[in-house]
Amino acid sequence: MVGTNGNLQWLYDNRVTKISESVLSVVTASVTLSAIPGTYRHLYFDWYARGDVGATSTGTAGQLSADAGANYDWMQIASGGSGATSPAGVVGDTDFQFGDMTGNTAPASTFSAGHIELLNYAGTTGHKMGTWQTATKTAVAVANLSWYSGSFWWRSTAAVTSIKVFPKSGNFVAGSLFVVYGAN
Amino acid sequence: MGQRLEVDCSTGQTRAVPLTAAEQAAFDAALAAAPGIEAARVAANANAATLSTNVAGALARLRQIQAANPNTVSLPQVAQAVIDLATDMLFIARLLSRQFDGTN
Repeated sequence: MVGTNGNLQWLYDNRVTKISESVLSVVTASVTLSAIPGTYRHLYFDWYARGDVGATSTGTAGQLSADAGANYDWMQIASGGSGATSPAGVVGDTDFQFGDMTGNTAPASTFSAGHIELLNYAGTTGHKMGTWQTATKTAVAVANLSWYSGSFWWRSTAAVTSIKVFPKSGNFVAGSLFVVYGAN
Repeated sequence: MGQRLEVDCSTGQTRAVPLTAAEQAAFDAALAAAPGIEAARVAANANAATLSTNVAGALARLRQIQAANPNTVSLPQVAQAVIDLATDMLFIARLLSRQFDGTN
C-alpha cells in the first residue's frame, strides 16, 4: 500500500486531519458540529469540558445527525480510583452517554476530558457505533478520580453528518473545547 | 435564556443560537433534577463504601461460623449466628447486585 510518491505520500494521504474545533467563550447548553464531510473512514471527537451545574458532576451525552429519537443503545464502565467499578447502560435511549464531567462544586478549574471514535461513520450499510474513554475528577481524593469507558450504537444506517454534545444538566463553561478529526 | 452553539464544519463558522422554549424547559427541568441526582449518587457511593467495609468483617465472621463446632454452642448462640449470617449475606448480595440504596 505505497502511494505513487512513496511512503511519505501514503502517510500524508492517511493522516488524521482536524476537521473543526470550537473553544467556548461563554456558557453554552450544547455544541453541534454539523456539515461533517463524509470523506474519511472514521471520526475522532475529542473534548475537554466542565459544567456549571450545582453538583460535583453531570453526565455528558451526544446525538448524531440531529436524531433525538429513542435510537441509541449505550453502556459504560466507571472505574473509581479506589478500585470500585460501576457498569451502567440503557437501550432505546434518546441520546448516548459518554461518562461524566465535572460540575460547579468539583475542585476549581478542574475539567474533564475524553475521546470518542466513530467507526465507519459515513457508511450506509450498517448501524453506526462508537467507543469512548472519559476521565474526570470530582474531588481531591483517590476515590473521586474516575475513568469511564464505554460504547454506543445508533440504530441508523445513515451517514453521520453532525454530532451534538451536551451536559445532562446545565451548561458547558467557557473554555470548554471540542474538536472533531477525520481519519482514513 | 440559554444558548447553544452550532459549528459548520464545512466553513468553520460558528453561530450562537438561543434555546427554543421547549429546549429551555427541558434544560430547566434537568437543572432542577440535578441536586437530587447528586444526592443519590453521594449516598450510593457512601453505601458502597460501607458495604465494602462490612463485607470484610463478614468474611471473618463467616469463617468463624464455618469453623465452629455446633456441639459447643448454645441455641441462642446458633440463633445469633444465623442472624449474623443473614446480615452478612445481605452485604454481599447488595454488593453483587449493586443495590446501593441502603446497607441493610
